[in-house]
Amino acid sequence: MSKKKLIAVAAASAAFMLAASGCSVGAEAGGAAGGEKRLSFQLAEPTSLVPHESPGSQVAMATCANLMEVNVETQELEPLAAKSVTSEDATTWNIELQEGWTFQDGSPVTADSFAKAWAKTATGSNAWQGNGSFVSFKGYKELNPTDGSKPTTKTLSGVKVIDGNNLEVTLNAANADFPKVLSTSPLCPLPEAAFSDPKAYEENPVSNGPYKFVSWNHNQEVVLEKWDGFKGAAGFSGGADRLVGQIYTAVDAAYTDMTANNLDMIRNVPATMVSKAKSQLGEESLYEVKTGSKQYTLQIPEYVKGLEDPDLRRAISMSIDREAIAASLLQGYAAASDSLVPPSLDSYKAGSCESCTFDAAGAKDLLKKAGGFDGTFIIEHNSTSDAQLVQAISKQIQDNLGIKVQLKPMLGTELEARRNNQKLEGAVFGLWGWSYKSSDQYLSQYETGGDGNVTTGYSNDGVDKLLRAARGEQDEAKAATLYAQAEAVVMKDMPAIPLFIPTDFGLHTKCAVMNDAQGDLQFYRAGYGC
Amino acid sequence: MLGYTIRRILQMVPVVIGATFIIYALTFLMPGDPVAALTGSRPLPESTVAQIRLAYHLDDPFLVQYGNYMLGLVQGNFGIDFFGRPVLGLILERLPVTFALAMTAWALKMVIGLAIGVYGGLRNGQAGDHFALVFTVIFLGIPGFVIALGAQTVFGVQLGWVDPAGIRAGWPLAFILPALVMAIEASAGLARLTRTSLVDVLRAEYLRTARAKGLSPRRVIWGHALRNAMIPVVTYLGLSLAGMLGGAVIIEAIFNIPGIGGLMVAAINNKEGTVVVGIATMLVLVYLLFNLFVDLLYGIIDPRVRI
Repeated sequence: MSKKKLIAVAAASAAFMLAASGCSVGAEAGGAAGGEKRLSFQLAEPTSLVPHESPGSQVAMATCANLMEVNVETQELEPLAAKSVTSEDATTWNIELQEGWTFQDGSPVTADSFAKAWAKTATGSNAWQGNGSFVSFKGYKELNPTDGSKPTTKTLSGVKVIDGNNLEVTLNAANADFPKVLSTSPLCPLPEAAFSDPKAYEENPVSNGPYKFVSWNHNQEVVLEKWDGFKGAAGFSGGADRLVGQIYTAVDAAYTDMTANNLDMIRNVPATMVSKAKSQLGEESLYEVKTGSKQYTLQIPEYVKGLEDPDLRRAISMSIDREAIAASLLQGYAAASDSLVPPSLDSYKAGSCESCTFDAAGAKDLLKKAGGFDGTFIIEHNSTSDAQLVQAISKQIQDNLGIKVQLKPMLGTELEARRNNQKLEGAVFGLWGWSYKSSDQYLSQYETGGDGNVTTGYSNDGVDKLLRAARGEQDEAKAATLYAQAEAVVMKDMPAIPLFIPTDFGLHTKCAVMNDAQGDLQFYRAGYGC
Repeated sequence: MLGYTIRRILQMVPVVIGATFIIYALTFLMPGDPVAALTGSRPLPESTVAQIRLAYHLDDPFLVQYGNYMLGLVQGNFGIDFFGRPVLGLILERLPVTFALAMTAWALKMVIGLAIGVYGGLRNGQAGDHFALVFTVIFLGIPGFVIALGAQTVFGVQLGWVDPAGIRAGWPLAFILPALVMAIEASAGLARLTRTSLVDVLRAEYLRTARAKGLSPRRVIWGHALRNAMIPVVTYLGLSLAGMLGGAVIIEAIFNIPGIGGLMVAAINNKEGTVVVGIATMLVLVYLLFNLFVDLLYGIIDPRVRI
């Protein structure tokens, strides 16, 4: 699904990985009490329940109905709160809302509910995390002066309210993905109550989605209830009458609670936990996400000296036996990657990265051709989440290529800072995912000033032109061809070495029938199977 | 007594200022950018970053930042975190939970530790003493998280007596198992200290005098031996309560108890200076108050140091 998915890093201490001894689990599931269809899910203490402030929040996704959303039954992006979203040129978009939709407090959902919410989110001084979603809107700059001065306007000039049911949005540049953008959390509407008393709204949010907020017992649970006023189709909702987000500080505690039948659903299950769950809870407790949406890469910043030669980068890539690491360390829960995008995207071409096939002899030859490498190849990585994986990769490079490799493990905060401020001293190992299913979400990393481009600083006029053309193309097949062309050009310079496409898993009890929307496992989409 | 107490409280002021300064400086010096931690790999737009840095005075020099913080602190304002939530609220939400856990663990530890220690001390060199020694060695030797995970699996998952994670069941049910784990671990040290202290006192000359005077063994032990043996034990107990408030991080994580420890770890990882210093200040204050309390308690137990 296409809601903002932040690549948060699950830090799991090795100490807690200690496997609890095998025990039998009764057949009765977590919360089915008194005939009520109740499902519980793992949650971290929310920073906010308002979608615009905390775009990755599962609670926000369950409570808000966006203009466009992925229908889990068809796995297609379809209009939800909108009747239609159309454009001639992919720059100016006409949005017509469904008639007669209301918020859970009975107030009507109008064009204003969207326009005002967007303007507030796009205002930089509010420091809402969804702010970045509006960069492509006309008028964003005026709301976000970079010199620290106060903005002179309060509205997005690119958003025009035509009448109660119609909106016109003008973007800075053509973007055929705009309907997908409309499906992300920061684009949710807000009712009048959110503007008249924002403080009260924070603790008691009201939205227009399939579930409504009931209570939030801080650090313990968030309770949601199915809203009978929701007019969307079944594919946009879920099966539970009551959803309880139980708050955990670590996924290990959530897992233990599940083995004791106190929890129904967990997502982003670490690979080490998958095998444990298989033997302890049984194969049927695992939900394998249908669409691979994430990718591990080794990115090489252009500003790092000594690593510029594409042949050197290719040699490094060829010296890594991805299949072996995927089978052993990752226990088969990942596939070797041979492209700069995951295979689930239309623009994916198998083998577009020719030097992603393991060939130790070929790698050595290529290294010779590149004039050898007598420096130290530095790999910076997150010390809590990726240490083992990076160690395996570095050992392969070292053994197969005979060059010196040095690892620089550090905390996520420090790594992000070095990445964002272009202070990296070598390659950086990282995980990337999309906010919505589009090749643009991956390839923008190699577009001058694009989303995520700061890591490598890669810049190529040819690529920029192709990506702009691809974004402006409303014909999906033609766009895919353009994206594939752009990828082929980027690949020649190899600013990133594709590594793995991890398999995402969810854990669930018998009662919870998990469902993902284009690769995004959303708890509220689960059906009720008891 | 009153004068002494006031003097001690006044002495706390420089200690608190010094401690907050050191912690603030350490957080400030820690590598990493707090704004970067907000969203992970996808950087926020430059303008948003600029606004956040401005709002939180992140570009000011260290001393100005610290000055701003202290200025707020003396007005009772602990500041806000990067999501706009007041730090005091975050702490107060979690402090009662940690307090309940620490007090329960402390009480259990006192009972277990003193019982074993006194038993071992009185049966010095006999089979009972050896048994007590073996007990303490075992629990000192096994890492705490192993006991915790074992207890969680057996009592929480397999037997199902209590919830293995979370505090939904409330006090005391949700706190018994984690508190007991903490208590067992900590009682080993207390038992050893009590035993040694008691053995020492039992060999003291004034006890021989007491016995020679013809006092009943009961009075010798309860009125003289234990009372004197308790002096180091009280110090240890008092300070360990303060330690338990801050040191339950691992137990909190395993049993999913939303206490102050988890908040502290998360804040350090995200480099949220205001939260780290807020919690640390709170813990420093608690520690100092317990320290004072222990010192005042001495006077009651030991007339020689009475003021």
